[in-house]
Amino acid sequence: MKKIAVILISGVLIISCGALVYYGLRHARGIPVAIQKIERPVLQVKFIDKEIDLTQDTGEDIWNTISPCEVKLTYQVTALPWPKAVTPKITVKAFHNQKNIYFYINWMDETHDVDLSTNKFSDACAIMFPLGEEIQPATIMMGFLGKTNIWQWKASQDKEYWLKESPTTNAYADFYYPFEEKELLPVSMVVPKSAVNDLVTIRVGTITPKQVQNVQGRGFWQSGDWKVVFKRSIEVSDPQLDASFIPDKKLCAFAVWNGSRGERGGRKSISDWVELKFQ
Amino acid sequence: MLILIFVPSSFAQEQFFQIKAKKFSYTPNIIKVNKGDVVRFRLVSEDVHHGLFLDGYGISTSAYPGQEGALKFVADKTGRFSFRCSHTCGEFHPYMVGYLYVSPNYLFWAGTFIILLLGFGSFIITMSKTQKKEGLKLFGIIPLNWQLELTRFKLIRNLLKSRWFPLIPIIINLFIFTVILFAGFVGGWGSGNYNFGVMIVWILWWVLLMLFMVPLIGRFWCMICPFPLLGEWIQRGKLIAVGRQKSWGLSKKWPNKWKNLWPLVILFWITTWFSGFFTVRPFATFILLGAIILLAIIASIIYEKRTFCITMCPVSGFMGLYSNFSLCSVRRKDPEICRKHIPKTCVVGNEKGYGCPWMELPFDMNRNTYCGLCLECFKACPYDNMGFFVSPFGRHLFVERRKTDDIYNRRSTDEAFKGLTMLGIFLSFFLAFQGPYGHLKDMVRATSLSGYLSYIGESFCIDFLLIPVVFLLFTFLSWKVSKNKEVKFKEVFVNFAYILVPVGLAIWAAFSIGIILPNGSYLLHIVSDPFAWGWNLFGTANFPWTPVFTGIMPYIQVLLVVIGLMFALDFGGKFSQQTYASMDEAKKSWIPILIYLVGLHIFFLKLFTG
Repeated sequence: MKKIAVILISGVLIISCGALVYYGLRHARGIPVAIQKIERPVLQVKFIDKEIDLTQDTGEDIWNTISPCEVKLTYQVTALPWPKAVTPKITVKAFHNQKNIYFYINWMDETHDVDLSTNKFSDACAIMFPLGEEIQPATIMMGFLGKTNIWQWKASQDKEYWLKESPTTNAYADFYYPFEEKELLPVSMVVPKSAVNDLVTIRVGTITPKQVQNVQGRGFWQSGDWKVVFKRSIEVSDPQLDASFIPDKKLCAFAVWNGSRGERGGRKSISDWVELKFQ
Repeated sequence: MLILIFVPSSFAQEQFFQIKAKKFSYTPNIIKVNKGDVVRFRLVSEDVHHGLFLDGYGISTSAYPGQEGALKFVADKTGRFSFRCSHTCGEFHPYMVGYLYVSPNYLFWAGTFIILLLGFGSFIITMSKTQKKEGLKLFGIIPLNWQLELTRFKLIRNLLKSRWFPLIPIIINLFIFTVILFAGFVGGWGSGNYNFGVMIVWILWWVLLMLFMVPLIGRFWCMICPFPLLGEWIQRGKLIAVGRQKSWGLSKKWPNKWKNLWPLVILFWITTWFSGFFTVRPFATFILLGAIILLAIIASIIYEKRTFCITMCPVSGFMGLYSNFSLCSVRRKDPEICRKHIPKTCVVGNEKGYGCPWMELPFDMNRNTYCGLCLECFKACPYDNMGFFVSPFGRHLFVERRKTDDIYNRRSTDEAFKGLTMLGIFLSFFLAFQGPYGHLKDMVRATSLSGYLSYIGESFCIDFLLIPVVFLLFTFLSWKVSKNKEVKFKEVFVNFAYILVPVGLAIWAAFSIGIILPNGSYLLHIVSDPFAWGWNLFGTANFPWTPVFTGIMPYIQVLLVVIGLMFALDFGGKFSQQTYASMDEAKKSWIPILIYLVGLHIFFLKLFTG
């Protein structure tokens, strides 16, 4: 009798404890949950044996034959200042003709911001390519802990370069956080050699224009829609500083600034890495 | 004309280090500079928000991913300083540590000098002895047979005889452990440094155990432990008054073959396999403590009395062994009274108290290993012949286990191995938890199965092979040098193993200092918000992490190591004289052990400061 009682008590205790542990494991705080791995968007870089002369147009007829790739953007929050709003997505296309590589970025922007002046900022977009083997998450911005090559197109620069319009000012203010409190740093304007700045960076605050500017670009705004095309030779002039597209299967990331929202510097919308697949 | 050119021994330099922080280690994890160097750190995080606090200098910085932290200081203090994470970054955050060495390391060399001096002193003293002295004296000053009996004080006598003591402290502990279990349950897999269960058990309780409870009062924790309480209530059928003398349940006897410390040697070692979980994850602490309580209850209804405590509680083994070093003990006062007293109610019980639940023979007890300080013998003795004695440290190590019945044997290899494995476990714990080695931390918390199995394998090799074999070699040498073939080698091995009791206590105390001083401030947070529900019961929930006395921490650790050595040297000489008939043999036999102790303590010094 006693033996049965002992077995029963032991059994009840073990089962109760087991149930408690099971319940705890299922509902415990901090328990790892299965997270769906987000697939990176893949941007097909087709081979099209055609050339775009940016002095004439941006090759809309060629771009219409290529399927777009939608890329989601998020707030840049790694470094201050943070943007106050976000451009939710862009569509991108790309192709090469074995001589040059072309990128096409299209996004919605209700305002056409092309002038720089006090409290007025330019629309812009950029593509970032990692250099080297160790590739950090793109959201860490500007290649932190890893070198990147950035092509940044600015609408104000585009206007100065392509329309040969003189800037309304011959200086602009460079912006350092917290710029609302500190003095602005006047920087003299340089005559742009292109609508696109070919830059290299290794961490936040180190963005540097390259001595040799290799990238051309042009953008058009119509009915709340920006379309910007980048063009660069596939061959690199400086392997340390130029994004290389050989061998294929590369990564890139995108960023967009909306001037009417006061976006400049760190205030931008950015994407994670997009995989480039060459054909 | 002579031109004297002074060449300074070292030039102060500016040294820059980029330190990458990633759960749970730094790269580089060990940095060496010279005194006077201007040191710059750039801290970079590779995953989450990490900090860097430099012990001894009291400076800190932190880095979010994508940003960096900077420190600049002059290395004007020498020695080894840990730099540790100052922002909770995950479960192993309290153990995310790197080492900065500022040469020259005066503390290490001074400590080494002191150890060598003590060893040399012990050698001289031993060699100068010509005959064995009758009475043993601690450090040649305090007679080991001196003792103060505390029940002469009426208040203490009444307290020890009352059925409410130690029941009241046990019930208070039961409440505390209920909160601990609940906190562990709701804490889940969160970081343990903000959990009541993890902090109270593995920071507060463990430190109090090793620093105060065991060295001073021996099995004091066993006296107030709540784990066997429920089982005992079932056995006895009464909460406070005396009920059944014979335990309810199956009352089976534990097999004679296993009535020693071997099951506990193995069980404690197995428990340490999971140290990378239960010391940092609240739910793992819940599982461990819950399992122990469950085992205690089930064991109490299957086996007689406190079989669980003697043979199954993971911490009982080292507490029992180390309690022989402590100041306190329970013994009979007048042997003549006990000789005439039949039946011996301290064994069989009466209406005032239960027969010894630990199945000791209180009237004849001469060691502390299996006495749980439950104080039932005080209540059961009609002649007030049980006494609570305070005596010099280590007194009870020098008495041999008597063959009082078929339960307890002579001094034996089980206790020897317990002392040895405690050293090994300390080494594994220190390297994994207080060392700068990220790969060990990954192994102990099982980031990969192969790493985890490697950790268990390495732990086995250290605990059961390396440390015992090294000790075996020195004791073998000791035996050979004595040239006494009549004394068995096993006796030499076992007898000398007891010098590891004060050694073990000292290094575990030093280890505990390394836990409580940097991390004790978390206790203030968890008492106000025990379940991380946003409470602020005592207004300390927002108390920031504040390491204290980290500058003098290495000095305290060195002091403890030196104290442990002093006791070991003193005891070892005495064990040698107990083992060998002639003084000459005892002296010769002591030399290899002396060398072993000096080398061992220089190694410990290297761990803590070098």
